[in-house]
Amino acid sequence: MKGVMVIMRRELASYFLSPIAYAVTAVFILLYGLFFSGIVLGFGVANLEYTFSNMVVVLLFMAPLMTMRTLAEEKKTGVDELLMTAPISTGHFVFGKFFAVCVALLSMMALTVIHFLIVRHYAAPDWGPIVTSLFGLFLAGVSFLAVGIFTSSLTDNQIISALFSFGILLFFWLVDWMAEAVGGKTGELLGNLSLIKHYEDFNKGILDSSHIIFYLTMTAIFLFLTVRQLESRRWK
Amino acid sequence: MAIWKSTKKQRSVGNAERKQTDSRRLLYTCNTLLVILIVFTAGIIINLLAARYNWRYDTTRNKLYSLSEQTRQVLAALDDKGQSVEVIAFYQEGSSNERMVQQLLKEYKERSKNLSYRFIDPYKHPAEAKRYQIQQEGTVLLLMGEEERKIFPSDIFSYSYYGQSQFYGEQAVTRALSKLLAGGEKHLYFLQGHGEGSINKEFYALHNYLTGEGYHVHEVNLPKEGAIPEDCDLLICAGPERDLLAEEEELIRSYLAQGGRVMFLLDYTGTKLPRVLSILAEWGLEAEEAMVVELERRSLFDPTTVYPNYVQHEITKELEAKQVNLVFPANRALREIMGYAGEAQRYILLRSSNNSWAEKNPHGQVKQDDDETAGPISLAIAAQRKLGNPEKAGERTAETEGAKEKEGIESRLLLVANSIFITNSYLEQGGNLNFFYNSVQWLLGEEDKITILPKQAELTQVSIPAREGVFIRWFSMGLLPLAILGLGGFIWIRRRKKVK
Repeated sequence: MKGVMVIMRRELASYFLSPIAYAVTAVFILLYGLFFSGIVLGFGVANLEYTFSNMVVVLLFMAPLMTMRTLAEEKKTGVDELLMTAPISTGHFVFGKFFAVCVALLSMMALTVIHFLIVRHYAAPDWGPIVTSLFGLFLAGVSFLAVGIFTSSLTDNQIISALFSFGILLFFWLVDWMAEAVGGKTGELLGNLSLIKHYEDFNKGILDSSHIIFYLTMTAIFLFLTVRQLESRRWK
Repeated sequence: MAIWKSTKKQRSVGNAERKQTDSRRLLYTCNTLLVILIVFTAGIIINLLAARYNWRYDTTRNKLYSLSEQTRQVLAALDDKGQSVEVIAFYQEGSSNERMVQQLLKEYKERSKNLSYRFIDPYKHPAEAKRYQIQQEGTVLLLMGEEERKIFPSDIFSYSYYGQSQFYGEQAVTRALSKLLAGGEKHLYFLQGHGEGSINKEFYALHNYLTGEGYHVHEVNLPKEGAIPEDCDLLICAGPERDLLAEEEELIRSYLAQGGRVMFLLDYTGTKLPRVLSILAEWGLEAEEAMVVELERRSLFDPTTVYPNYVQHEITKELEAKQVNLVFPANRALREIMGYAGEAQRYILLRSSNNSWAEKNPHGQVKQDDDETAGPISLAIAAQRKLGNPEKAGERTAETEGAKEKEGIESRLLLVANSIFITNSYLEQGGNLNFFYNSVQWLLGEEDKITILPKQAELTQVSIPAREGVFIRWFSMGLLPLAILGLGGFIWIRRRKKVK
């Protein structure tokens, strides 16, 4: 556990010292502000969950930018070889990196509290859907990050890593359309893979264990793949 | 020689090592692939189980996504009765509609131990669908012992003006369930002998629907029978081309005077129906010999096909809320008799727009003349009459006696401007079927049956003063992102300076 903390602290420090962190956060909060202004100020509606339904798509594009350097950069600079020989397991190494980007995501989302306070000052919205939307957004975001970390372990080129990540996330986003076209049991199975479909209930204010488990297994599978990918370097 | 031998030996050792490494690599690769396969399979199984045995919690303030109080009461009544109900839903596997209905039925099952459900794909198991006489995918069948109720796809999903699909699953299932529990079969009789449509021909689809709803539907020829059947709960006279016989008029009058329920659907035929009109006059109603011409709420191709406006009533309120259009072709102009002194209470249900009139000569030049009634024209009128005043309700002594016994009971009559809207080709258009069904329920006095309007997501209004709104807009779209960028820039420059 100590190893995880060390890696996480190191990763967080390097993330927040890089300009990309601020660029990603600024774009995220700008788009959030845009949707917020449109819905809350434009339509005069205090339902922040509508803002979040747009943000999950925004996050789908942001996550690869947040994770593209995590492992690709280490591979490029050769630091990963040093780390491989250090007294720390590959699992701890990957988890350290993963928790660091999760904290970065949380810090980005924490900024939306300002908007909550604005709405609360003027109206009494139904907090249930807002809280579940935020929770769902975090869970979805975490699974996006796990995908990003996996693609980052595949290459030493950050751009390629981000592109792979986009590709995989877009597939999981659009798979719902394919499911409708295919139909039958295969269609049902494909439909269950849709990243956005699982977010819809959170957005309505419903907590459903199946959606929580879906995002958690997605995260676990991609982190596991990352660990196996890094370990394979030892014997390749 | 010795050197050659030692080199050969070294080479063979190297080969052996490489072979060993290769086989180890192969072993690792196979091992990795196997583990990945196991993890993926485990992930899929976990998610399939999670979808089947899920736990849900509705966090919304008004419990928007939970079963309504009415549904819970009906399910409690089912458990009290101790009878089991099986729900069979005929949906194509994997469709999004199937998922929604499945989620709904799951919630029903969680609330009642006497309810079970299963899904059948009618495309994969056509024999099963045929066995239960299912003609449309998306039909839901409720079985309780020998009795059954069918819910049709149009009752579960409806499409609004804007093409958005609305889910009325809970309303439909609860309504069917409560009807199953209430029992007591109702008998509807379609009058014959005056050129009316037949339930086996023009009204075949309607017949099928009403049977699915648990009604017994028959045809009756009054001169042949000599009386209105004892078990008649509702008499429907749909599109007569010729007038009633004197004895039929008498039978219907006396039936109404004893708390009977009658529906007249009168088409514009150009023939006089004095006996029918005389019954209607007793209720303060009149059907003109004119056809409604509509210029505003009408079909693009035909000014006599009207999309009527609703007037608030038990029968129309759900349709009005759903914003569903009715498609009413070739309407006979109806109206309430002015200065009517009888005790029937009359309610207009549907009417044409202000931009319409009752055309007396639709086959000639169609234009509004001075002697033609100007819109809005009534297209459906409901009337009810308490049986407290038998002298006026019927004049013969036998009926008066009967009516006295039924004091407190009322008779009901419904007049509609055409019978075409319930024929096979029009029944499924817009809300036609729904309107007819609601009318039947009202006539039978079942209007208190549950109509659960879909709960809408609550929109909390927020009013922010204009000046503060401008500030908030600039803050969230300008100041905040710029401040973050500024902070990033500051850290980056400081770091570069340090490196230098």
